[in-house]
This record gives sequence, C-alpha cells and structure tokens, in this order.
Amino acid sequence: MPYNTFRIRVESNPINSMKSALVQISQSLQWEFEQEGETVANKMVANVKDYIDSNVKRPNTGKLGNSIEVYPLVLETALQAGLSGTQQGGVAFGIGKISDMPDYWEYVNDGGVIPHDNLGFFAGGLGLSGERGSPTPGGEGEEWVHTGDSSDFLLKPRKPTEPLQYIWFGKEELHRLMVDLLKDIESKSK
Amino acid sequence: MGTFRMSRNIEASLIDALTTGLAADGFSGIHVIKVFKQVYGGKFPSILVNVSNNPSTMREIGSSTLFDDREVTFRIFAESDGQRLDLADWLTEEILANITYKTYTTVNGVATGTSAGKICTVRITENKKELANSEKVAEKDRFRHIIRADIRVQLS
Repeated sequence: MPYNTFRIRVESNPINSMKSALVQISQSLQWEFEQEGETVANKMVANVKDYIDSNVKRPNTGKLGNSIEVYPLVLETALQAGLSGTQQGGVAFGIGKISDMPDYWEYVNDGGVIPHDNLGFFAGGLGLSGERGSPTPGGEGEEWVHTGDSSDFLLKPRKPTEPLQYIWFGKEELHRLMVDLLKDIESKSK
Repeated sequence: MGTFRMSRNIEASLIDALTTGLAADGFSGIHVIKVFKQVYGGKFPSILVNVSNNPSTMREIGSSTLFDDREVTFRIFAESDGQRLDLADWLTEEILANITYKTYTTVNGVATGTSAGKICTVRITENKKELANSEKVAEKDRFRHIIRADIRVQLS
C-alpha cells in the first residue's frame, strides 16, 4: 500500500521574516532612542553651562560655557557599513569640541597655573570699554584677550585656578539622564 | 572637643594611611595634603586627597538610611613623568588594599583618630594624566595625574 504523501510548500522563509521583523523593531527603537538621545544631550549641555556659570570665579565672559554645544556626529560604524544620508544619523556625546574651546578650557577643568608667557590685553571692563589696556584696579568685568603679541601686556597669574571638573560633572549628568531615559523607554514598551 | 563627620574622617584617614604607606615603601619628600593651593605654596611633590562627591544610594526600599558611599579624588603632582607613573601605580595598589577608617576628635586643634572600620574601594572610575592637552604647562602642573575612586565605608 502506497504511503500517503504530503507536500508542504513554504510560502516564505520564516528565518528571513523573523530577521526583517527584528530589523524593523531595532530600527524603530534606534530611531526613538536617537530622538530622545538628542533631548538628553541638550539637557546635559544646559546643565553643564549652568554649572560653569554658577561656579566660575569671574562670570563675566561666558566664553567657555558658550563653546559647549551638542554636535550631531556621523557614526563611524554606519560609514563603514556603507550607509548614506539619514541612515548615518546618530547622536554622539562629548563635552566640548577642542577646536571650538577657549585655550584655557583644560585649566578651568583640571585647575593649575597658566604659564607666564601669557601676552595680551584687558578689555571690556570699567573705564576701558573695549580699549586695549593693562588691568584697571577694581575693573570688574574685564576680559583677558590672549594675543601672544609681545607689544601687549604680560599676565602673570599669582594664584592657581581651582579645578572646576565640569567634564566630570557632565559625565555624571549624562549618566543620570540616560538612566532616566532608559527607564522611560522600558516603561513605554510594557 | 570636636568630632569630624564621615567625609572629613575619610579624608583624614586617607591622608594618615598614605603618609605612613609612602614612608614604609621608601618614598621620601612626598606631601599628602587636601588643599589645592598648598601645592603651589611649597608642598611639592604631593598627593592631594579630596572627598569630591557624596552619591546618595538608599540602603533599601522604605528606609531613609544611605550607604556610606563617597567619591574620592586623588591628584598627584610629581617632579618627573617616572615619578608620576610610580606614584599612580603605588596609589592604585594602596587604595585597593582597603585602608583603615578612623573617626577623629579634636582637642585644642589636635586631631586624634580611632580605628572604626575599613575604606573599601568599589571601583576606580578615572586614572589618567592631567593637563595632557595643553602645550605650555607650568612647572608644578607638568606631571600631574588624577585617580578618582568610588569608596564605601564598612564600619566595624
């Protein structure tokens, strides 16, 4: 007696379907994470700026705080994978871009004594209104402009700058905000 | 008579332990201090010890007691790059070996410590050269190193 035979036709490859579903989920999660990640980065930068403003000894220029921004970066891995355009999007976190920072960013962060060959002039203080000049006694609000030009004035800092550790503060803030974000995403997915 | 609270006890215990440890391990002329400006006022070479943060982790749900956790920053101001590396390695080993925690009382400005537990290093979060991106650096800032550690006090 012949055996009954059954023919099974596979309409689609289940492994491939599963793979594409997983890719879709992963892309949607990545998209949500990147959107939220940008918000986190903006919050972190705002908090670091507040921290610098409220802790610097002479809060008159804001140059350091203003130089810290959020930069959208192209992910290296995306480039290597040959992705293009919007697929390359990603938010990478960093605290300040060295090329945009004032020369003294590291002294404010780590503390120390700025070396003596600091040539430049004072501007913007009381009685100076932007003219090039030596420091005025009681000239609150004066801004030191480093030029390196030996025809200007020599600044010899007498006291060390205490470390502000704003990079460390930013890292801690980022950690705290990311934990909140992950908890938020987790609770939404339930 | 005055008594120190936990953060000051930690700083004083670390300063005591590191000062004794440096002498025992053959280092000479290294100051262990807590005031940043003192480095530039003559206390050089030196190790600076500061409790820099008090992370607040609750012991358990429903309780208002916190773990005795602190973040401690050690800054090394060395005379040469070799000394910086030696001190950084020595310091790492020393803090990982659990340091005696003492509680201090002061009488007429003199602080006396009594052993009360251990300072356990939970993790080292930073261990690197400082001011590595600045080209011109003042003499005392040339060979600086930072070690940052999360510690927990285990009372005996």
